[in-house]
Amino acid sequence: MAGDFTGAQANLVEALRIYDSERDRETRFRFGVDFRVTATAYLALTNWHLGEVVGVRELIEEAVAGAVESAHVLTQANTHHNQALFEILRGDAEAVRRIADTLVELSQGHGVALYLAFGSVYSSWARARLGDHATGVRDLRQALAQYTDQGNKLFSPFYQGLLAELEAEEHDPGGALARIDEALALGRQTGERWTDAFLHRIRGDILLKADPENPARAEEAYRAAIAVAREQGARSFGLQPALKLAKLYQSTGCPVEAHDALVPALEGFSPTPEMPEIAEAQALLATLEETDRVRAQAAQRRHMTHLRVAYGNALIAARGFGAAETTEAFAKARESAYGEEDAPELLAADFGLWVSGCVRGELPSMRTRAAAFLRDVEARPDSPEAGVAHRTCGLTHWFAGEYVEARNHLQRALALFQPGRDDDLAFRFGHDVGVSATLWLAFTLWPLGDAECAVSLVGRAQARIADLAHIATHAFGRINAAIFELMRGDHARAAQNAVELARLTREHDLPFWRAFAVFIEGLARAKRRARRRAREHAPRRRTSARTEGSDV
Amino acid sequence: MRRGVELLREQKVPMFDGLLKFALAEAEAWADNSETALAILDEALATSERTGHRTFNAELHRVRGEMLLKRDSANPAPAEDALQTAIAVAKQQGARSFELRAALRLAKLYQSTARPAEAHAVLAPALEGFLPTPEMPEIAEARALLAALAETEQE
Repeated sequence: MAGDFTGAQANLVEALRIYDSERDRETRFRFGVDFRVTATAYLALTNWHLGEVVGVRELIEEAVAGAVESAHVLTQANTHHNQALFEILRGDAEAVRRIADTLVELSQGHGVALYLAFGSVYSSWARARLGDHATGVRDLRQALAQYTDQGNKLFSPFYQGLLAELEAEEHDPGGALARIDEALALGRQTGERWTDAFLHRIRGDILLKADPENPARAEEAYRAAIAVAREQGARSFGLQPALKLAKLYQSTGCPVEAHDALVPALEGFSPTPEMPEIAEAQALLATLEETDRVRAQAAQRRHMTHLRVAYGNALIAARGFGAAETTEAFAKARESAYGEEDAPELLAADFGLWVSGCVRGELPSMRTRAAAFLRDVEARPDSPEAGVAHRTCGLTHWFAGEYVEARNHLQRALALFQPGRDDDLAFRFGHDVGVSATLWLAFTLWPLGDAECAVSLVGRAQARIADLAHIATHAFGRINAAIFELMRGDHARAAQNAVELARLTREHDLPFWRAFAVFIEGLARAKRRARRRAREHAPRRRTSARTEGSDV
Repeated sequence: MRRGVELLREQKVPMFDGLLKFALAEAEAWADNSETALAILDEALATSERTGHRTFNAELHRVRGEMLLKRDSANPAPAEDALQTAIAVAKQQGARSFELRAALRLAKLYQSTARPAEAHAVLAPALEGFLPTPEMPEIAEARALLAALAETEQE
């Protein structure tokens, strides 16, 4: 409700992850509704807002099926309410009408006033959209008044926005704009900000329709909608105003501005009948890209991207993967590479951003970046870069403790790797891609119980490292071999690798890796001393530990 | 080791936090600093909850169980809880090696408290499908313990 869609998604995914159908069977209605069903429906809506449109319908259908199975009236009503919201967001008035009828009947039958009010709002909106405009608008005003008279404020900004949109069609732009202002003010007052981008977009539509000769205020409203959507990660609410703004720019002879507005908003969306705006935006973009001015600007942007990636790589060496400057350089490269599809600079920026999130331990950012990387190589699923993208996905799952998913991606990464062809990728992706895919697969197979295969993969990686001159790969191989041995519990072998790593960090000035070497060498030293102490002073062990102090 | 952790912190690199923390906790335990070790493990588990990095959660719970047992062997219940949690987390993640380690430790605990049937019940499913290999000595150890437990049951 607050407009923190990324946070909402993380929490809802976690809620569904920890749900245990056996354990929670009896307690699921303790909070008024079946929490698995409602979490599924909320996740569907959240994903839609985040632009993850594919799969939303399946989630909604899963929630509806769960609600029916629960035979619990409030759960069913709540699910139909969320289902109606989804169809309104899609603009399918016929579907909304059907769902609203069910919701009204269910609510009337069981005397559930809140959901009856929701149902009346949806039913009126659908009637207006399906042709009976005047009656629908009148009923919607009345339903909304009854809803607020019950003391309800939740969803009011959204409903006010829907009504304003309809009122503007009745040639009452002044009243519609006043209603939008009221809705925005209510959102600020209650903190319900998820509709802000939606309301600004409607304001833009109303202003443009009222005064098409003077589009400056509409442009401002669309820009406000885009800015809010970007801040909230609300990609679907961001695409809609971007499309409107791009059309406005195109109609005023500004193709470059139209292109710049549309490209970042469209990034990552694939056409789906669930959101027709995607196909429309893609068609407009293709038209804009045919113009000379957009072509000239694209060439200039490619040059800038190239420079930014080079700068990001230089910062990795100088400041480290996790430095804010490194992330910023790759973020700018990514921004200027929008629309370049699988261009080498775009993929290098994808990787740079993912690795920055990885070393800082930011799992949500890792997930987003890995998914973006995989999308960017979609056109060439067997390319060497696709292997790197699968490695980032695999490693992201590994950090989340999702070993099975990690194994699937890492096996794909290793299958795509071709020695010789892919040797130079080390200079674009930090270290040798074959070595890293092999080692990370070993890291995954060992916990999964395939110890022999894991150890053999570490041996294979080390054999390849011996043939390479790329120093970062040597350091990467050593630290990961040390960590692998640490995971297995073989501290002596871990220490051997740490000693070699320490030598490399000294000789080649690699501060990033030095910390790991210092740690593992210290561990081996602590273990040696503990053993010696246990051997020599077993009867006085407790006293010795205190008087000698800690070796850690 | 602490210097290494400090260097990683200076570089804002929390990668492998769970693994390094459990290694650090083990080292503290070798130096008889059980309380420090437990505090490190609790911090690592809290960090994991916050960040979603769950790679080594099963291991953190296992080592925590071992530390709790070392601190107060007369009261094994908290250790048993921690080891059970380790097994549950490992199972949920499909991390069979981590599951075997935790199950082995719990089986030893049950054996030492004269509960051979429970020891067998926890160890047998965790060992299923594993073949002895020098790459994972825990397998041979678990098989030997299972055989000993089977003999106890026959007696």
